[in-house]
Amino acid sequence: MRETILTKYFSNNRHVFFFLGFLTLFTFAVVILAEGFGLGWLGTSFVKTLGKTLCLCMVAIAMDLVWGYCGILSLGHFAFFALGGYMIGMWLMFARTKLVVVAAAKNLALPLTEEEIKSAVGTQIFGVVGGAEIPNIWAFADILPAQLAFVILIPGALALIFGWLAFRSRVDGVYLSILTQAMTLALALYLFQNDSGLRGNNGLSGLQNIPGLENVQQSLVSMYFFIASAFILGIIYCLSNLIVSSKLGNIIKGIRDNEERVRFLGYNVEGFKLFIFVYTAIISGIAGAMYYPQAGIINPAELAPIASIYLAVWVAIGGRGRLYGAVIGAAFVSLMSSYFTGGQAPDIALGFGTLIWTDWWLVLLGLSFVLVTIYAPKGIGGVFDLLAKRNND
Amino acid sequence: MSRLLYVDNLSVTFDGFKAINGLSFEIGEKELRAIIGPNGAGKTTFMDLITGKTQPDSGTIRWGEKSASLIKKPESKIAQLGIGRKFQKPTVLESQTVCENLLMALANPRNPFSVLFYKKNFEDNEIIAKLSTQVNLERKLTTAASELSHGQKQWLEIGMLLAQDPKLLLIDEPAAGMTSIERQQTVKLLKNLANKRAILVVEHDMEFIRQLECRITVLHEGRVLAEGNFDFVMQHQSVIDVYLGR
Ligand SMILES: Nc1ncnc2c1ncn2[C@@H]1O[C@H](COP(=O)(O)OP(=O)(O)OP(=O)(O)O)[C@@H](O)[C@H]1O
Ligand SMILES: [Mg+2]
Repeated sequence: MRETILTKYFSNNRHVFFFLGFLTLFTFAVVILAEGFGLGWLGTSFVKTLGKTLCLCMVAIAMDLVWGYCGILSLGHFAFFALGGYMIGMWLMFARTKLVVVAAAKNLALPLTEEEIKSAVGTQIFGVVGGAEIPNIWAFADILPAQLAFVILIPGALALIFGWLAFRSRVDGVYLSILTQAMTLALALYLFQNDSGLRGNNGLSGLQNIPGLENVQQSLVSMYFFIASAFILGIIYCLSNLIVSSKLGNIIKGIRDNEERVRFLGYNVEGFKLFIFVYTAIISGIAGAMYYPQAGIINPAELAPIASIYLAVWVAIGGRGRLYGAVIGAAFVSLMSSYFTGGQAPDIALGFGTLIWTDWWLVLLGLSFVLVTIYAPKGIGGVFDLLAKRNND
Repeated sequence: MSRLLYVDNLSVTFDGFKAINGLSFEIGEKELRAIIGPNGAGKTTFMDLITGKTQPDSGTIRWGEKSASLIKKPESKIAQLGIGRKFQKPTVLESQTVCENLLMALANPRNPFSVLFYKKNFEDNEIIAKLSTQVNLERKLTTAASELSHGQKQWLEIGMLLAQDPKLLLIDEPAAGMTSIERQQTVKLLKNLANKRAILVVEHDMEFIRQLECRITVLHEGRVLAEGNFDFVMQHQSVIDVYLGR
């Protein structure tokens, strides 16, 4: 066969085509089976679970880039994820409350002034934390493009500042992991405060109601978000593959394997780490912005450091250093986890007691993590490597 | 011969221990120089100081025509100025192929965006082909570095240094773990390379040093004990006392 650029690209990046093909098929299957447009075999809440899972796959790709490829075990990427969620959540909540306020005022003799609308919205949103003032950080909450920009800018800026400080002073290994976790915890504790301006532990809610789509059924809204999530996941996969298969990919793998060598080749290792850290923080932010409208609610508990640790577990089980490994790990483990903890799994009666999955699932997960780390460091993704190799021989 | 690197009165202390103690040293362009000395003499630490891995407590390190100071410069900047370094243990990027290792070392722009959009071109392929022949790895280009023998890894690392096209090569114990044939080939390679650039070799194997036929600096307790050609050093009484005679 003649080697064209395209065939060469295909043979080097076969997993991209497999992945995109599978994602497309999966999306079509769900569209056909779900209530929104199709047969109605899949309920709306299940479609939302699937859509959320796609978003989790996006953060898993981010985690794989930063940890699997670049060797930085970040325990802070769920902080970026939640920040993305908060940024879009502010618009969703503000814009919707405003619509409700305006609609309620329709029957009044005099139309409300801009000031009155503002104060009514403020009372509605911040009543729970004992305030009516709209905090300054909500200044742009009414402007969708601004909040969309913040989805990228806020996690990106936090990663830039944090990463710059940490990498510049050559913090790495366990210390860096602890530092990222401290950042996450600090952010969570800040958000828990009522005067943080983001409704303290109440968080933002009602996010499933999209302003402007009031008359559209949730079954359809869930479909829109599912399809959009699949589309964005596809783009993130391709973009990330572009990075890891370029010379930049060689360098970040080099940093993982032998930082010193790369440094003495004349590369500014800190700059490369920062590049990857910020890129992955932005991906996480976008993933969070897609996730929370499907979840409907976001609160500071989402930032608990444990979430970021789960993320590492997903990527390890799926197989570090392969993009599809991260996706498989996130999809597989998070779906299993919602099955077992959702109470659907039948309890197993053993002679001496009952195995209650909601309690024992974490034990099972922890055990699988240990087993995979010891006996199958390539994770589930490693199986695909073997298959691909056999096909080639 | 004009001066390439000039070091004066350099000192560094680790927890009260003077690893380098008032060291002065000079090397010219295209000069081949060997450094010998007992374990712990400070040979590797000296290289750490030149390449910016360790910061000196006092003293000067000056580089090139303009005698620019290297102190407080980051490692990557110093490498870009034209100082390449081979470590005592062979350090290549094990999970990547010989070709990828060399490609990364090539003297191309080194910021994240230019490497992201880098496309391998004809010239770079030519350079890699030439380099790999120079270090006897032309048949191994697609082999993962982890599958090379110890000696081949040493060569790959030297090849990576050459790809950087440095003006000064610092080579720490190249002969360690090599067969005698590989050693002879390495001697030939180093002498050949010194036609175009300065090379500083640290080595314990005296036979290897003899074959290099170059000026020798003896380090002891962080300072220069003696400097001269092979015969001079071999007969130097204090060198015999602290190093050769043991
Ligand atoms: N980062 C460091 N911290 C503390 N002590 C150090 C450090 N680096 C080197 N030393 C000490 O400085 C001394 C000089 O070490 P160096 O590695 O330079 O010796 P060397 O001449 O290269 O020896 P060898 O021939 O064994 O390689 C040694 O006693 C070593 O223990
Ligand atoms: Mg040494």
